[in-house]
Amino acid sequence: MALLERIDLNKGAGKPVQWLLNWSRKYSLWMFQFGLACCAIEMGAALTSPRYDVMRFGIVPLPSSPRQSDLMIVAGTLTDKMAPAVKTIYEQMPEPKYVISMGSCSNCGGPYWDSYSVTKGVDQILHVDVYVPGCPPRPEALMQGIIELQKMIQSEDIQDKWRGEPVGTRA
Amino acid sequence: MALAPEALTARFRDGLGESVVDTSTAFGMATVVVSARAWVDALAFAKGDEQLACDSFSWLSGIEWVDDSEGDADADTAEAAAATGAETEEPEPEPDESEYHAPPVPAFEVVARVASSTEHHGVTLKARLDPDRPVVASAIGVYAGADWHERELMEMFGVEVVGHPNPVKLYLPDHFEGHPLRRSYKLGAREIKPWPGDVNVEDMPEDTPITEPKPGQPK
Amino acid sequence: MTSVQSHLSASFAAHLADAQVAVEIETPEMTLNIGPQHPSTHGVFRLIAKVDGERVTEVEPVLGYMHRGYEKLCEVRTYAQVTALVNRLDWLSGYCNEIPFILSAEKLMGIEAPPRVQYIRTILSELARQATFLVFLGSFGIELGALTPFFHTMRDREKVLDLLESVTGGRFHPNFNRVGGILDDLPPGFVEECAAVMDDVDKMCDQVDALLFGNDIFRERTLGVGVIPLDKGLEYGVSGANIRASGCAADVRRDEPYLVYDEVDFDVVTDTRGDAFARAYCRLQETRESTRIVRQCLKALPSGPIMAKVPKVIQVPPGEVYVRAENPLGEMGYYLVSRGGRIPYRVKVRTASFNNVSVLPWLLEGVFMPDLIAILGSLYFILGDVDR
Repeated sequence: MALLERIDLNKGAGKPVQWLLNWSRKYSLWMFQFGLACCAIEMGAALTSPRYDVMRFGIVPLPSSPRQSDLMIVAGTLTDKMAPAVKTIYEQMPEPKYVISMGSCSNCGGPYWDSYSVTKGVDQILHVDVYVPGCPPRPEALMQGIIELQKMIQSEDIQDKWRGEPVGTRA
Repeated sequence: MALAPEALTARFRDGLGESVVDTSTAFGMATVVVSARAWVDALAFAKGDEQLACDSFSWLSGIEWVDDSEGDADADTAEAAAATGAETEEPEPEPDESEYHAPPVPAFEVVARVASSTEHHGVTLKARLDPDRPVVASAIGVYAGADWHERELMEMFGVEVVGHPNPVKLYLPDHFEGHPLRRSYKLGAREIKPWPGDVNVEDMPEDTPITEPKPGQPK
Repeated sequence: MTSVQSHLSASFAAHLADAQVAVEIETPEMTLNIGPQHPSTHGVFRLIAKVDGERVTEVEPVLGYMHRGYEKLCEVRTYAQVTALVNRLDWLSGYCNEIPFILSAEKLMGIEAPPRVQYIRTILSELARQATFLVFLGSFGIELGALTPFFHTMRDREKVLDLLESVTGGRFHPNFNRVGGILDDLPPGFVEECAAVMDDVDKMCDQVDALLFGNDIFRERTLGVGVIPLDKGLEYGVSGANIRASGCAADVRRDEPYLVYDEVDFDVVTDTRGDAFARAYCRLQETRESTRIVRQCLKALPSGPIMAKVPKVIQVPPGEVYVRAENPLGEMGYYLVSRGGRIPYRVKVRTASFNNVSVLPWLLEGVFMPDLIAILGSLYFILGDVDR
């Protein structure tokens, strides 16, 4: 961090340093699985099925606590009763943190767009970085979402991200 | 030996006598409507009677019958009005058992389905309650499995279940107001934004020729 | 060697007796919250357990974290839209959820689907059943600490899902049924491919049988755990493999045959022990029965149309009907009330898991804490099916 305070990572010799830091961050994403509904099964297939094997992208899918994780995948229908729990878990994650919203329900309410008890999208309560469409998305779609997130992390300005942003209030 | 629907309804008529308000065997399903006072007795009879032997409890819920079909805004209102009109005009007090007939509106029915695991038959029991203030006695004493179903009934329809040991909400958060399955409960999202586009219940186009786009022509 | 052992165990027993006399461990009652996000609950399910030491004294399940208001949503959707929606009730066996709804609409309209449709529907239902049970056999192992079977079952589940996908285009929410028929015919080469996958599934069943059900630790943790007596189970409306493991041969496929279940030969698997082991073992055997049914259907598959003659716009005449089916998790049914028109007036969804879970407060009273996970896993419920 001291290094980051002293040099500007966006020009000159700082650029390769930033590239290296981002590169190492994007390939060691500890992922907290917030499986809620149908999509959780496809997420499980992406993570554990020998056919998809998401670990080859540097995703560590089984952290024991949200406090150890960098990435949360919200997969499935979020109801109004469940929303406070998701928010609590999200706030326990340390910065920098990323959220992938998987499936139509957590994107926008999906087939329950008119329901009286479903939250119309997880982005109403927290900040979402990547939306994966589908009902449910195929495991390949989730993997593409992860790759998109990695691209995003690679091009991030770390100094901006880490400067002056209190934990848990990005929403 | 499984009883035929007609035999099932006859058995209820024999066993419960005056309490049976109506029976039906339409669509091969035995339905017995009893008076609200005899609700628990009817369930106990279904469970205890040797021929019926309905030892398995399937579900319990309610149906609210209202005068118009306001709940489904897209329905053909003229059609629904015609249907309800036909129902209210029913002159004969004893309709044919094998033909389907809806109750006169407005009405509130509590419905339960019980089945026999040994005889392999099932019966749908109904009781008509006061639609303005539905009250029914709890059936937990007969079927312990009715517990959660009755909590759901209370929460979704606002029915008062007398004698329920734990009358709290089952599904919804505590701050939720209203009884969602009532016909008068409107879905907020649909009130604000009707179904996008007419495709919801649009008639199929009659004999529209499907034209293939010519090569080179933008689709 | 034996004398040393016996001496050791004798002294150990003596110490134990001393300890029991000398020390009385005070165990104040604790309240333990499990969920709503817990890996062993197949969704968002919350249990508030009161524990005294290692013993559970009282359990209160808290539902509703997955309540989406299905019954209300069905009242504002057309029949075709409801079919798409009900796939997501029990999300592991989406195809099976469509069947009773479509059958109830067909019954009210007086339509019967052509024979080829009935066979294809049976085949796809059984494939969905296998996919569901394969998840169970894998995940139940994980809950009790055995990771390996999961990879075996998931491997073959992908093959089954490939079959479903080749026919319907969806991995587990196919939305393939229409009132009066199905969307499309089987793709070329399906019959041979399906037969080959059935062989794989059978082989996998043998593997899991040896690997999981022959494992001493697994047996110790499940035999005699969480026994559901038959009369209690029936009173709560427990269905499916959960009640068959308690000695009741209730199977809708046999009692009220729908589709072509009366034309195929299969056994209703029962057990008398009623414990977690029996429930899991019944499901393993039913997977084998399921491959048997699929093979017979593939052999007897008739040719013919895949759609009955239906009006362009589905309008269901007034009526009330309850149609049930044997889903992987148990008896599922729809009480469909129509007052005419294109929208159901009321749809009561009877899901298997709701009744299966309602027995929990009674069942979990007095069990040991580690057994709680074994019991939850063996009941095998899907939260979308419980909360609707």
